[in-house]
Amino acid sequence: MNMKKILCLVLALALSISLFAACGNNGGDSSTASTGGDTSTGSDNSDAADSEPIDVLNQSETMDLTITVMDGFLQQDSEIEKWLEELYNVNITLNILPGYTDGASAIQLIMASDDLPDTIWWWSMDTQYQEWVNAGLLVDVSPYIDKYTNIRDYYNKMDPKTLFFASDDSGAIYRIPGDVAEPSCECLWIRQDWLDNLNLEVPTTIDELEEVMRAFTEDDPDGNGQDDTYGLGGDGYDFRSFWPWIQSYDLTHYDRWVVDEDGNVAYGPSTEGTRSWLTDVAELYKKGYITQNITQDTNRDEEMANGGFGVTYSWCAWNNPSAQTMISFYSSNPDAKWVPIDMVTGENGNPEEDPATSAAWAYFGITKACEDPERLYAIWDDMTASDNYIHRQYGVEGEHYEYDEDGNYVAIINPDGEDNKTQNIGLKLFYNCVNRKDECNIGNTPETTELFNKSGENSRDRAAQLVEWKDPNAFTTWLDYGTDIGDQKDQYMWGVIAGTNDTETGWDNYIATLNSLGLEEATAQANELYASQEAAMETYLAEHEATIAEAE
Amino acid sequence: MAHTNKIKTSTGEKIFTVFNYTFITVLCLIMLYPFWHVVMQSFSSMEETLKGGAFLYPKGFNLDTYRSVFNNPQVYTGFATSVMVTIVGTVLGTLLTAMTAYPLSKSRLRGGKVLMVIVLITMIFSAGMIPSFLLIQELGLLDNRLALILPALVSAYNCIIMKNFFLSIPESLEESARIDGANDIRIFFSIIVPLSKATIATIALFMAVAYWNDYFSTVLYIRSSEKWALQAVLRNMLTNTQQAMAQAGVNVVSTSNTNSETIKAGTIVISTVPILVVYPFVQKYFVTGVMIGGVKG
Repeated sequence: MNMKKILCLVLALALSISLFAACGNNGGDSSTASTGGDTSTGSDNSDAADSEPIDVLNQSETMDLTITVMDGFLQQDSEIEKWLEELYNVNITLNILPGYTDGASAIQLIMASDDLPDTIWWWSMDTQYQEWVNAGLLVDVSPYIDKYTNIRDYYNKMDPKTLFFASDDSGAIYRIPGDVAEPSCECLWIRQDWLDNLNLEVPTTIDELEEVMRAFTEDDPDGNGQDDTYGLGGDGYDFRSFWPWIQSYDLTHYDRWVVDEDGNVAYGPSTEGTRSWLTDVAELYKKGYITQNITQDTNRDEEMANGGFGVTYSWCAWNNPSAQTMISFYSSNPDAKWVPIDMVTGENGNPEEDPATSAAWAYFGITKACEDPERLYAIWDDMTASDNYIHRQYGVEGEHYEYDEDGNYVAIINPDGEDNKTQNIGLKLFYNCVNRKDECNIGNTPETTELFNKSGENSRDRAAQLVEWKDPNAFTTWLDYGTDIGDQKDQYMWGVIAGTNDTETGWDNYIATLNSLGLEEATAQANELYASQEAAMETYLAEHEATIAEAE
Repeated sequence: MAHTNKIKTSTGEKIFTVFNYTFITVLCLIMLYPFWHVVMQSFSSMEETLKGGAFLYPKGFNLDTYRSVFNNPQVYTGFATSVMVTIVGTVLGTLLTAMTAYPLSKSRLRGGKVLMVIVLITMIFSAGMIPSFLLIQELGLLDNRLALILPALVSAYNCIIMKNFFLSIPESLEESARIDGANDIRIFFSIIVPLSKATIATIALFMAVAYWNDYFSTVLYIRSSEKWALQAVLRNMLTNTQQAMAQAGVNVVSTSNTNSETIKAGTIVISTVPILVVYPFVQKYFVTGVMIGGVKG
């Protein structure tokens, strides 16, 4: 046999071995991909619901806890960590995820390893989450949730649907909501100093807003004699920047599914409402009232600092004196003044803010590695209690923060500042592992809290028109077609705004393309799923009526 | 009368030379500017940096950035890990690569060709991320700094470069040493290694740069933040932004994961300087080493 033949054989052998190796990993003990493992169910620890609650403050045995987190304070052995260790007689080890870009890969590897932490934090990853549950890697905490009630009561007080979305069909809860956005986190912002310079009133309708944008673009609002300003600005390649026009029409969204009063579900970007607001925005863009690079992936903060535009749709939290974006903006524009204003009234006569989801965007779970899951859940629950939460996030009054004469929180040690790190204090430890958005969020000024409340209240009608999927894995057609449809949607919609496509001649073709990519099939399944999900939600809310009423 | 041997250059050649110099200079500036921009940003004020634009000089000069960066304990632990991993990995890796390549360059090695094929296979086929992770886990190296060193110790690519260089060393040198009573190990360390300084320096530089720049091993194998390599610390600072969250499907505002542009710039400079400092010392070997290794490729 000559050398070439030997080489060919060796390479073929190596290829075969590598294929077998890959297959072997799927079936390996530590893989999460395998299904049908010993699935944990509520029955595994259902006895816990009837036993006496654990007094986590008086435990003689020290418990070792490994906790994997992404955000907040990330150094070991901080003051706050030591306080918690002493309080609960535990020994905490922090495992830190490597950031949002690589975090999902790291989480998957951790869950595939033999060395599970006691608590794992994650975001999105619905498919993987289901695999972890099927493989028995996560513990059902539903038996504890009515026994240790801080977490339950907090979420039920804020939005009872949150825990419905966290539970599975059997009522088991393998994931604890880590952070749920306020009902609406954004509002309309405008440059008050520019309005004053041009003697303009705060706009209340979409037409008035467009007139203000025209004036901001053409009438030199900053008085520098140059044509260097725009009406509207926003983060590039982000449809949320156009929310005032989106909310002008019913049953539309840039991304989510919508539902009418009769329960008919449709894909938001394919409705007539979308066609209408796209037409409006494209016209404004063509007139030059919107920053021209908004169709690219640009940075709003940078353009703001340069004083480039006078209207934007953005975070209510910008109203806090500690908001970094505003601090930076005012340091280079000391005479400027951004103010939040009420949403303008559009075509439908019902001004609404962009609603956030009821479901958490981040979760954490107790893994099978934990020797005493009930005790750990009880600790998480106790850490969520008002006093402990404020201590963990903001520190001790008088030492790390104080209140001014108006009762506003003033940081002595800024939780996001340098001193917190250099002195290893540990403020914001376990951030996004139950973030309280109620009165415990003392970092918000009363005005900001009011702003959040108002935005939240003014988003409920719109929220009722938007669909939230409890189990995205069950929406199989969307798993198959969603990416292609989403890409096509983005391509068309940004094309319309940029002027390379239009809504008159191009709309029918756009809809036909979406249908050819599977939208009709997905819509049919979406309607079925929505009906069953609504029925399940009604049952859930009825079953939990007493605890929900108690929390409220 | 003295004659000058000056070769007359034509106008065309002069234009060509001027064009060449201009073109190369512009090319150099294009390549240097991004780094210059970051260095200047690191000495600028946060407000000026937020405005964006070009930074040919520091705007609002201050050293606050470096004070902040050096106040971050993670930078120190990351620096210590990276230095340790780079030094240990480079020294061990270079030695093991040379000791693998040397016997492979000897025709008298039985089964040498088969061994070479086995080495080559690792260049073509890779086990992939999950199997590598499981291997490290089985070896008990998770959350251990050795996991940042061992997997990359010997690479087939470096091995081949070195083997090709060893092939160019005359056999007679070894024969005469053998006649003088030297054994294989003595020959390797006293004859071969001193003759291979250029190639060894080149491989060492390759490895040092690779170890210094590696952040993904930390992502895969390290859990405790105090064991993170500097590049992982840097990447975390650079990528944990509101934009990264938005791209990851998170549409909520977060105040906890934003580092100012100046802090990012300062950290980039600090993490880049060490490798720039090392480069001039090995640069003289660099081109020679690669060329020699490639002659018989």
